[in-house]
Amino acid sequence: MMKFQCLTAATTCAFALSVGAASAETVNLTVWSDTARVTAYEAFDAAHDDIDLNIVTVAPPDQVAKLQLALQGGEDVPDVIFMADLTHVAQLSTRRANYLMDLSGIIDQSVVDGFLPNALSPCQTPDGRLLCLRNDLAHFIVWYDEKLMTENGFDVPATWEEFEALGHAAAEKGLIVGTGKQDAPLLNFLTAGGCEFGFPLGNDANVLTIDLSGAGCVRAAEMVDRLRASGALSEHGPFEPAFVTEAKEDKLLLFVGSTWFGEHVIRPVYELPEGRLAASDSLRWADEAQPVAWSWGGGVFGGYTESAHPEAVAQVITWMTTDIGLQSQATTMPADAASSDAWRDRIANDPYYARDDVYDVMKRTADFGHPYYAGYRVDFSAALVKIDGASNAPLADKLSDLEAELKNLARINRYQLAN
Amino acid sequence: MLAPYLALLLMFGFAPVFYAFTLSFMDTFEWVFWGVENFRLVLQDFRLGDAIGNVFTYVAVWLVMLVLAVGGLSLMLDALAPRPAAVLRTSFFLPGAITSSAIVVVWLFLLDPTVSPYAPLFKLAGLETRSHVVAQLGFPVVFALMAFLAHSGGWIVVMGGALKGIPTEVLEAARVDGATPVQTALQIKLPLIWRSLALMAILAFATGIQMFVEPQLMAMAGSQYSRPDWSVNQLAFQYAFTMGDFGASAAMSVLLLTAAISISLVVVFGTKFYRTD
Repeated sequence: MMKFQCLTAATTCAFALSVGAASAETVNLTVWSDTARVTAYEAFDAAHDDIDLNIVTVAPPDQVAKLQLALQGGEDVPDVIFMADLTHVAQLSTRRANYLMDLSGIIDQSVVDGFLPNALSPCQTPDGRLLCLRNDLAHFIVWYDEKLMTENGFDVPATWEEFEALGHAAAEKGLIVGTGKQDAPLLNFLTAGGCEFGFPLGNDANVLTIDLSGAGCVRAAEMVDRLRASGALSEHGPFEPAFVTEAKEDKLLLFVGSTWFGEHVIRPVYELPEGRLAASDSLRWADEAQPVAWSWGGGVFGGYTESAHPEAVAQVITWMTTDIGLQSQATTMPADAASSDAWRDRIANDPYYARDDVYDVMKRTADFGHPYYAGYRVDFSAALVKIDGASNAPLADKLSDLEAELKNLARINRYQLAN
Repeated sequence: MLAPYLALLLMFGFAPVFYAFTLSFMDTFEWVFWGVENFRLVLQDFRLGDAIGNVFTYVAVWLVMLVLAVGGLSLMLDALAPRPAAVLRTSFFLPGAITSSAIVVVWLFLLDPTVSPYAPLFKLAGLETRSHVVAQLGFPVVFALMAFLAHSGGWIVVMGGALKGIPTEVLEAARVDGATPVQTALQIKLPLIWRSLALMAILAFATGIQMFVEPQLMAMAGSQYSRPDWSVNQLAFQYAFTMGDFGASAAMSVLLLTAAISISLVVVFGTKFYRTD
């Protein structure tokens, strides 16, 4: 704040400095930000005279490596970071890289209670610590092109069985219902079926259950195989030029994607025209009472456990995740319930969407967010990509390889295995 | 005269190696001597075997490409008139002027049939997407192609220098004896520059087994190409920068260095590289 005044009006500089010195209350915090969050941090800085932020832009993929070096050197460790990739939460709360502060005693319980269901699952540890606050919810829902659905006489699926039937029917007309290549959607197919990629089912964060042999898990993998074979699931990832071209040519009927997929991808990248995009609930298996939805991202803010100003750190993190003025303007669905309600009005009144219930779908299905969606020191995505990419064999045949890979990775990362 | 070189060698050659060597026997969390614990840990890493296999396949493909293509092209260039040869040599060098990380990005486009200038070639082979191309060629060949484009130009210039060093009377004698250009190249010039070719192979080997950039940057093409544990150096990187275990990372690096030095020494002494005839 002060720095800002000095830069903009040199004459007021001396005055501002003397005020700062007199109150001696200004706390200096260093925050590492990706480019998307710089303006939000600047807004915080402008709104708080007692906290002065030193904003450093760090590319998200480099963040953990840079932090490890900073921690090793013991200098220039930031007070607050944003983690777009939830595995970073796990990587930065180990004995060797003990970066993340336990916020449970510092952040007001009412703030914690104000988050939507399952929103804080990536932040809460089985032993009761709170390592972060969630910026946005990113669980998988069904996005579909209402115009294509109606034209072809298709019904919106509610179960995975209906989804598969729709996929094969769509494929016969040259349409696609998603991708069979990208890691996160594949993880959603598999975890919805009950694949246990490495979840702390007991109360010990260090004991993982890794089991991909369950009937539900195999059933899900076989569904993916059949949909890949019929061409209903594209062999391209959703960001590859070939996929984008197909989407722009009106070939994308439906996509089981995260809450941000509409606003962030279908609208700006696939350029689907106004009045066609609609959303419906996450899918469940016919013999299951309710859906279970994995998530794709949904970043979190965390603080430095040895920060000199833990209260100020908590204040920054709370403001960034729950300030209604800020979050209601976000492009992603706010994880904080009150902010999320304010955000609703923007989406519901947006003529871009074919229906006004897009937000209601997101909010309703937040309850079905996978309870073990969190970051682990085992990177599920990397293991899936490596094993699935190793050959063109059916995914169902590779589940045992994948299970072995996950178990090996768990051991390397010093987890114990429950099975 | 030797002092500046020795100072730099000590500071940037020996000191880091010594530091890594020390770290590899320490627990870098509590800073206690840990014996061979770090080595035991990394040698038991289930990914190590695959990574070694990957790296050696890549190095084998790359070295064969490098020796055949650089040797062949250099000999052919040497048979041309000096001016066109110089122009061609410079143009071969140009791709090498781009850093190898940028080369990876270029290759990601070259390998995508939807945007590549070689699209007709890929289509002819029935490859319609980047995933087809990568699956068909395999990662070792893809990475070898990338490295070849990055490094071969520089070596063609070096070989040009080596060929210039061949005394003209030798070449004239060959011509007088009725040797064809092909015979001159293969039977006169090649035996005289084999040391330069061998030097290139040794240095390329040492660079090759430390490969890191190519597989690490593949994730830029999409998560389905991401291979964070493909090479040994990537494993060392993971130990340090995702697990925070600098000791284990140092142990992996020390093992890699030991392997590189031992194999180079075997090659140098095995081929009597420094013996003057």
